[in-house]
Amino acid sequence: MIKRKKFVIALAVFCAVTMISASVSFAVDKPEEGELSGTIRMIGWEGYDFPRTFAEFGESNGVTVTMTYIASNDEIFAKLKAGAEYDIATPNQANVEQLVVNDLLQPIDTSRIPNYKNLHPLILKAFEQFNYQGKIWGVPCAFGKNDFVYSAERVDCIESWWDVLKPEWQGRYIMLDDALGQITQAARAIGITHDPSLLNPEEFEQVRDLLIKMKKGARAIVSSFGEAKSMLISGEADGWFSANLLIAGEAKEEGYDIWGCIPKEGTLIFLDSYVIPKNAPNLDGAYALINQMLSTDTQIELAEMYMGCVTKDAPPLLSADLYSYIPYDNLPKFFSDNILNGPVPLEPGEYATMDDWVTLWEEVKATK
Amino acid sequence: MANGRVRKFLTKKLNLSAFPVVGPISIWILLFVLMPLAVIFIISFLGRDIKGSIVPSFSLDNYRLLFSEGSEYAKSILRSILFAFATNAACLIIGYPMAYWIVKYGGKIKPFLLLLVIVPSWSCYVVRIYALKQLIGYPGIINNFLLNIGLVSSPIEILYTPHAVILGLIYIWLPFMVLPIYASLEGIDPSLLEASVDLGATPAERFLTITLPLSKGGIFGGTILTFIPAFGDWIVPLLLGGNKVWMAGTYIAHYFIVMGDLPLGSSMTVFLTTAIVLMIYICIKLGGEQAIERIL
Repeated sequence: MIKRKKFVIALAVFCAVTMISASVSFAVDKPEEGELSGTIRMIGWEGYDFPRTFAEFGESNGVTVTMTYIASNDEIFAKLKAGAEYDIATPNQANVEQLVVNDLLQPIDTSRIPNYKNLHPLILKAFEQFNYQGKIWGVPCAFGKNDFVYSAERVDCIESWWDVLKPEWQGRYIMLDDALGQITQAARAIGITHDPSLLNPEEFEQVRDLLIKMKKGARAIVSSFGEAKSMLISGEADGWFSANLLIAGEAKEEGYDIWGCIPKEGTLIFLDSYVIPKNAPNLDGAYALINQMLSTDTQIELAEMYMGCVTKDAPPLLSADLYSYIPYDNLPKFFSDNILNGPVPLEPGEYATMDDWVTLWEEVKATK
Repeated sequence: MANGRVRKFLTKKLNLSAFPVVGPISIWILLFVLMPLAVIFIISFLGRDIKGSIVPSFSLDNYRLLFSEGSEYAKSILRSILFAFATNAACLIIGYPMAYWIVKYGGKIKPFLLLLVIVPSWSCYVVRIYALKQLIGYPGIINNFLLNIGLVSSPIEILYTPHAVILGLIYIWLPFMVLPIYASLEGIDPSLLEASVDLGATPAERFLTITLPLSKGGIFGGTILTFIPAFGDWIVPLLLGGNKVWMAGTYIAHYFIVMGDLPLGSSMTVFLTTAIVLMIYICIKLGGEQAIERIL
């Protein structure tokens, strides 16, 4: 028999040791440099888990590629900040700075990506503004535009982004649960022609008002592209306020006609990139997979989902339909006519900060 | 007084003979329930710097923020309480007669009827919600039926409304109300009812003076099993509320998963957990030991 006091002390010591142990990262056996093995973990939007590429790459290299989907760009930051381990992430260009400033990324060693030379020079030039601290933090992986996506079988496209506020659209459109995408697009709708990531208090207030009105008329705020596709196909909704046409290709294969258009106020373009988190456990796997993503075959697979190829060798091999969706012949005009938004300020100042954006979006979603 | 009790507890000899029985479960609860809660509790008093990193300085700011004027979280707590009460009341109104009917008229097929109540909960939670979406959606089975029989001229909006969230919570948690009540009713000694008949009690009197008081444990046991999960749920509001109906659980998930704000998310968790513990305490106080027995 022992006294309870001793037992309680022993228990407390045990708890303390367990807690300390749990907070220590144990060294895990890592593969030798250059040797591919194990699992390559990606985090990003649906659509960047190319079924053909992942299957073939996994089979030929004896690795498994897993994908964690995000519902918003903020999730990549939240997960990496919380210490989650991924080998590749695919943030929007506007989110790269936040990841760099928080020391969550490692610079890209382009010599480890033989296909890097395939990147279109104009795409590389467009991405230069996101090379912070004189280093390359991301490899462009896809670009495109945000359309008003709609069921072409049931409705015609809208002329203005504001048309969704008309009575006939009430309860018939959906929005995506992504602060960055929704706020920047709303900024375009109120007539902002400069970088919509830089919103002064007055503009920010106008965006808030518009988004709250839009939210009130929205059928739902969806968390995934799959959910959006299912709602547009089933008739639960007819339109989608601002998204890329990723779901159109899949819907087409299933026999449904989903298409997109750009209302008169214009739209935004995106240039997503592959970044490598600082704590990536499978660095060789990450570089090998990024290299594979820049291959001609994968870029064609990407174009089939209505996103723009970032390499110069893939576009000429596309079908006429896919080639016509992106103006590959006049990319400079594409990048000048539309807006590639930059980073949202992180520190308080002249413009609304990232925290303000996230809080605004939370307010929009919670408003009745 | 309290110090005396603590001293008495600590100086008493520890009987280790019970360790093989209660030891493993105690360690489990300590490691996977109490320690994570302790970590959450500590984090809830920390702050964040401009980069979003946790700052190890004690602060009550998170709690102040939760209940500041116009706080959406405070509103969501009230909404959660309202939804959980509605769910609980509906589960009781539907579940009690159901359990009563099974006990009284189930006869030889009682096990089969009970199985029918339990079977839906064997399937995945999310699958059941998606099945419900097919029923109540704009182009869903219910709307198609109503349109076909001419009862409505255009589809009624059920899905992605607060009503859909409450409906989903009732649908998911109903079996957990039926089972404890069934166990309570099944345990009532029939001779008590027979004696009351002999003494001239009417059916209503029999129910109000014998059946209902003796099934109190089942009612409060069922309340623990339905109110609490409904109170903290965030999947049902997300999928059936279209991300427009935010409950307290939605905020916690949002702050942990999307915003990565662990201190604020933790303070919300601490508040929600405290409210749940208080609710359990009230149920046990009102339902007695039977309430615990019926949920075990």
